Amino acid sequence: MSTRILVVEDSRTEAMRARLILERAGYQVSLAADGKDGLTKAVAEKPDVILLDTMMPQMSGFEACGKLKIDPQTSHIPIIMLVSNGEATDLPSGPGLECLLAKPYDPALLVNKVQAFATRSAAPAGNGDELTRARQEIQNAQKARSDFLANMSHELRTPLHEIIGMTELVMATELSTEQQQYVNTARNSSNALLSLINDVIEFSELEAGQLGLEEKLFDLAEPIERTLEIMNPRASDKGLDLTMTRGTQVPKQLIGDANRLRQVLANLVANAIKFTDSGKIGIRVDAESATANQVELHFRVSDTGIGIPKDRQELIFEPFQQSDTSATRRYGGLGVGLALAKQLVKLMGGRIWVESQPGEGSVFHFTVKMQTPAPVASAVAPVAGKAWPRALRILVAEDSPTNQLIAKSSLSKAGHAITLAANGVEAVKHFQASRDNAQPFDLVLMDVAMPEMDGLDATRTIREKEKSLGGHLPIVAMTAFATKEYQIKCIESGMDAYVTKPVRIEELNKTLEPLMTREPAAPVPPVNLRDALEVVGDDVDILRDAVASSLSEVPEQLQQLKEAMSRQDASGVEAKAHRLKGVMSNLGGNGAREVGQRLETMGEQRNLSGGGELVSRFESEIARVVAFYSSPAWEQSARALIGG
Amino acid sequence: MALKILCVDDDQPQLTIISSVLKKEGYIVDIALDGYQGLEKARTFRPDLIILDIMMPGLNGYQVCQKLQADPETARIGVLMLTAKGGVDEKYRVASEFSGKVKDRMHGFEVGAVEFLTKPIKAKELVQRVKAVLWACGVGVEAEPSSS
Repeated sequence: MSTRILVVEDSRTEAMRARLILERAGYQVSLAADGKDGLTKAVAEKPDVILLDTMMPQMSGFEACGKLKIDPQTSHIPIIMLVSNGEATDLPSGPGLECLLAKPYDPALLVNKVQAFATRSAAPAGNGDELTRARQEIQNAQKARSDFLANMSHELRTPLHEIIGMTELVMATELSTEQQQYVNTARNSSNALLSLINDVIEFSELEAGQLGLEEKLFDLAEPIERTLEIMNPRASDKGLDLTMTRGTQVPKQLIGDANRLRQVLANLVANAIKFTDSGKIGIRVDAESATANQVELHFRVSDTGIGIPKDRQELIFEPFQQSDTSATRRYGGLGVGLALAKQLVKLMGGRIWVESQPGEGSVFHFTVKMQTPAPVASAVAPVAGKAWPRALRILVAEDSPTNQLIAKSSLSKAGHAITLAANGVEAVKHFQASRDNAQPFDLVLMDVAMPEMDGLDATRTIREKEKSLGGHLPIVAMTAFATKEYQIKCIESGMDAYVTKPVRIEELNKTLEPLMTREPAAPVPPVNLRDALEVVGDDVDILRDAVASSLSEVPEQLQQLKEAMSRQDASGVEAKAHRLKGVMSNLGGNGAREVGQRLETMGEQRNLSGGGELVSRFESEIARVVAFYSSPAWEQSARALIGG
Repeated sequence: MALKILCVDDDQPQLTIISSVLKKEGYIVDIALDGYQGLEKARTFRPDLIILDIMMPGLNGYQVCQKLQADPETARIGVLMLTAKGGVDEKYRVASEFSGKVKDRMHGFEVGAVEFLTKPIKAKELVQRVKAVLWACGVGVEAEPSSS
């Protein structure tokens, strides 16, 4: 079978070019027109190499690359990233990039690279590193086993559900005592088999890395009580005592995966019951090494059962092992339970071990790290610590009316001026308006989960606008749970910091200190000379010509725009604004371009309300650009930028 | 032999930039200030590639493109269309890219390729895209680095 290459590229000619070159070299090529399409095809077609353009609409090459590398179905596929000339210099080291190739590329070079990666990916016989191949084979075998177990178990589960269902139906009919006993046993055995199969499925999912943890607020009592509830009947069937002790320092509320915790606990308790014929089972939980927002819980499950010989104590946590094969016959079970518990505990940042003497019983220990919710202080915390020397203009984006009220009252008490937004869309609108009226905010407090547009998207939008408007407005996330994952998401979206809800003035002040003591942002220069130079390919002579040509026609264009606006001629406004916007954009006048774009959109939408003011603003922005280029100093700056 | 490029745009400063950049690359460049003039020069100047602004008064870029294709004299010339980011013409592009005659041209190299470029146009991107379209039309022989 020939090697397959997926080319993800929005430019059709570029895509065709790559295709022709690669097909000529004997590869099988398929095309995807954008990042999304590329992801779908990568999964469906399993190509040997992916060629990925960086600049594409909707999803950039980097984003697509990241997604390809995260998905286990595609993470192994080598990616060659196609970058435009000059773009390569400021590239981040992208996630899992195998290679960067600058466009326009030499066809021979492309074929070379593709060949190199295709070889590596396919590792054909006689042409690969033996060790790598052996390792690959083992991995494949392991994966095949996990896959088999998962599939098999799913197949088993369906008929088993039917058996249980039917058994329950039989139980609901009139039965003799003897029949009841038989059917009861049948149901209990079916249930035991089902939980065994579930263990196997979960275990294989864990091994395949497909199982994630939830991060939710829960009461610790809940998983413990549910375990006791399920296990108590089994224990009392065998005449065992099941007790629960809880250390004093153990927090009531935690953030984490309650279900997984319960599963580990239930597994250990079930195990203890299984191997204990008389005596008692004890559960104990203590808090160890607690910090402000994290605690390590130490659970002990002790029994008075048969115990485990020393040399088997490590082995029992391995899958499909029991302390003794005769135990399998006597006590049943596949030996998956403890292996599953071990994996789950590991996933929760803890460890599991056993202390045991044969004949005297065992104590199973495990620890898990859990986050603790921020202490809920009174909503309106007293103004303590350092108050800000001046009142700040704060935009609070928050959808819950209660939280709005809390934030508003506590912040106004501290003397700040508050503007409220109920979602991300409103937040962006307020931001834009504040810039239009030249009354910028000092700070945004942004809820993360909001309807319509969430805080992350709103932040991204604001940061995008700031690229042309200039400035950097501090944006602080307000989250209920400050989990690591959330923090990363917030920072990645362009936020500067986060505070936990409800917002307390002290915490806020502390967070703000480094943000607000920054130098006030310098006024945005009217022209981004770097952008202008890029348009002309770093040629100052061309830029000078372009400036001369632009400036000579700007007054007339502007006049025509004003006339169109005063006639309320929407399509005239659209056309003239479009034209001036283009001129400004070629000169690096990004502020002017932004305003021009908004005028053009107004015209296009045939809604000119407020357009007069916007035209005046456009005029003054354009005047700044004209002034910039009227001074000969710009040429010097330009040459300095080029580094000539 | 140097390749010839015709630039059609009503925006004089834009023409200045494009033609200067392309001349520097060794192309022979002529300009036209609207669609009608563009069609005329396509026949007389006989360019290897036409750079065509979409939003122009009179004939817009798409209309010019269709007329070029209808005329056997000019049908094989590669076209590079200019759109403005976020502008109405970009929406137009999305709507029309896969419809009608433009679509037919997009798929067949034998009738000349059509490509798009979004303003503001950076010199490097322009040159690269021009080379790609010329190559796709089978005329950019020297734009293709010789494989060794």
